[in-house]
Amino acid sequence: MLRTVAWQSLKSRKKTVVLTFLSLLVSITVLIAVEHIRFEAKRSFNRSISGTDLIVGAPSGELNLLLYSVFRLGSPTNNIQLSSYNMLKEHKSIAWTIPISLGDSHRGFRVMGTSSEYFTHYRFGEEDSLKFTHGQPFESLFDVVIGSEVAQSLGYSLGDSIVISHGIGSTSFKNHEHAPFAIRGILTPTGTPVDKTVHVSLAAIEAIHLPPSQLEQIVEQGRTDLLTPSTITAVLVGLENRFATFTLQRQLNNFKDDRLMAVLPGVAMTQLWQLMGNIENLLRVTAFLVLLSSLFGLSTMLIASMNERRLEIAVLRTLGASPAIIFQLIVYEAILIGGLAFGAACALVSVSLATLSDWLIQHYGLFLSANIFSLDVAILGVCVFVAIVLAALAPAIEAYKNALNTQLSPS
Amino acid sequence: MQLTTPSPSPSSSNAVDVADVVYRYPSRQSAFLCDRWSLPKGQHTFLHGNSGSGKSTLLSLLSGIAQPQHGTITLNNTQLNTLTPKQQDSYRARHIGIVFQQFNLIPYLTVRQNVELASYFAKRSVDITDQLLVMLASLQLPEAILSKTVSQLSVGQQQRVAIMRALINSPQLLLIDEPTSALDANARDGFMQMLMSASQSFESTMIFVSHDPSLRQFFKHHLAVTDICRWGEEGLSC
Repeated sequence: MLRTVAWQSLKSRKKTVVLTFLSLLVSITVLIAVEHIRFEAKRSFNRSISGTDLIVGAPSGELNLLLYSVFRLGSPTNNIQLSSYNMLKEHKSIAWTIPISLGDSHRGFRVMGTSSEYFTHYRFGEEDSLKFTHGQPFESLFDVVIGSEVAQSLGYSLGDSIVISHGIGSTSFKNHEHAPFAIRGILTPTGTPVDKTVHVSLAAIEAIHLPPSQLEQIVEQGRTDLLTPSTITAVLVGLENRFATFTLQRQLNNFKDDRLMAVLPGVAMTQLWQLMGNIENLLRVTAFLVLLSSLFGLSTMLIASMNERRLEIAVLRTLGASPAIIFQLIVYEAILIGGLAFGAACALVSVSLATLSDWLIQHYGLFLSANIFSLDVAILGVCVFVAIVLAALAPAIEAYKNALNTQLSPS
Repeated sequence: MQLTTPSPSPSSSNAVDVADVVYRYPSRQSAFLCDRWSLPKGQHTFLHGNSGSGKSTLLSLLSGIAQPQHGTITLNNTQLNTLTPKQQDSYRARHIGIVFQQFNLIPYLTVRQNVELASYFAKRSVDITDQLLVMLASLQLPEAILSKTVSQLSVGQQQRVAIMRALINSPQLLLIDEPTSALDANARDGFMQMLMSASQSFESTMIFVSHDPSLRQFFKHHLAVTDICRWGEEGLSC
């Protein structure tokens, strides 16, 4: 019955209630969107690589190595010797290795030279392996496998021909026109930097950097074994036994024949996320401030209604409503408005994400799930509920006092 | 006119017993004082007095909405000041029906919801539909009125609905405060006849407060507020 009274009371003050509702809707939507995007960004970030025990590259700082080898961001400062890669391949503690060679691009997308082991051993998310939507891994020298976002953005399909450019800018003055590639495979979307990567073999990276005449000669003679690079950018390493991780890391960091640095991806990723923590907190604080201003609006609306509701409170008191019930009624009203605003905000964010998901992937490479229901959002819901109850306290106390002072007289 | 006799102690045959009551408004220097007064069960009393004489204050005290700083008020053998505030609210919901002069009903609720609210606070779990239909007939109101909001009703209809709500829990005591002030003479007489008839059928004790002496004709028992209570300094007898 109290719920009916609270609901009908709100309906009788439609204009102010609707404006308060809209104010809360906007602020809660911002709050949920920020929290969800933060959560999804962190999830997406953390799922970029899994199952890899060590990343080995030239000494340049843990974050830098992580950024260029996993996220295709920044530039490698130095390379490691191919012999070091061969040493890692043959190491008894190591189960698999994936070589990475970076430095070229295709229309703004990074080109990565690697081996077929990449398609076998690379893991992301919950130890998910790479899958092909179309085609298969590269076989011949000028085969290329592209990530889903590359295919979608550039409208590529199997068999299309592409040319790789020197350097990593979106516009390059030096295209390797003499060595066009044919698309051999398109990977299934992963929500990781893999989607934005153009994959070729290590031999292909070596080939496109040769003078055209020399390359032509090698191809004609079928001597692709000559296309072996002397250096590569980094190596992703999977161990036979993870207990050996720290021992091997120490060994590699002290390796005498080449300057190597081995980093644990999990540790480096945590460091990187901590760097972004300030931005994350800034977004959260802004969203909470927006909510706070709306809650003040809610409180003001309820307090402003108290004067006109003096008689209504008197009627309720004569019917046997205690001051505590009057207090409860005001809190109910606040919870009703806040609850409806929270529900509508959840629906708005979900529908927006479901509708805009393709556009977000296409334009920003953001894989945001439309399912916003996570523990973080649930905690947020509880916080919003508590904040609404707190915002309702001042008007509820005012109503309580009115109820205590009620007399059977309109004066 | 019959003045009720003072009674020395609460009696089981009385609906109201007031003894040595002192009530002081926080914003007022003088106190409202009632020494001894009682009202037999089932009696309908017309309580009159000028504005400011303390009629509404007396009703607030009798309904338990205002708490006297001193003295006792006993309603049907229940001493109000021995009850906790919550118990007093509950007692009021179950045993007292109140009709005001103007602000009787909650305007945004329907007639049915207004009446159900009284039943809800009295913690009655029974379906009141049949009771409502009987009361509508006796108060000459159409059934369709139940689903109308109060703001859609005329003043006369609102006052009849207020009576219906006051009687829905079959109260032992009815407190009526200037209910006819907004009605014209014809409507007032019709309303009074309905009120008397309805309250008699519920065997409720009624205290009808008004400053309009023309309403005395509807009552056998008349009383001036100043005969039983007064504004003055605490410690001085009435």
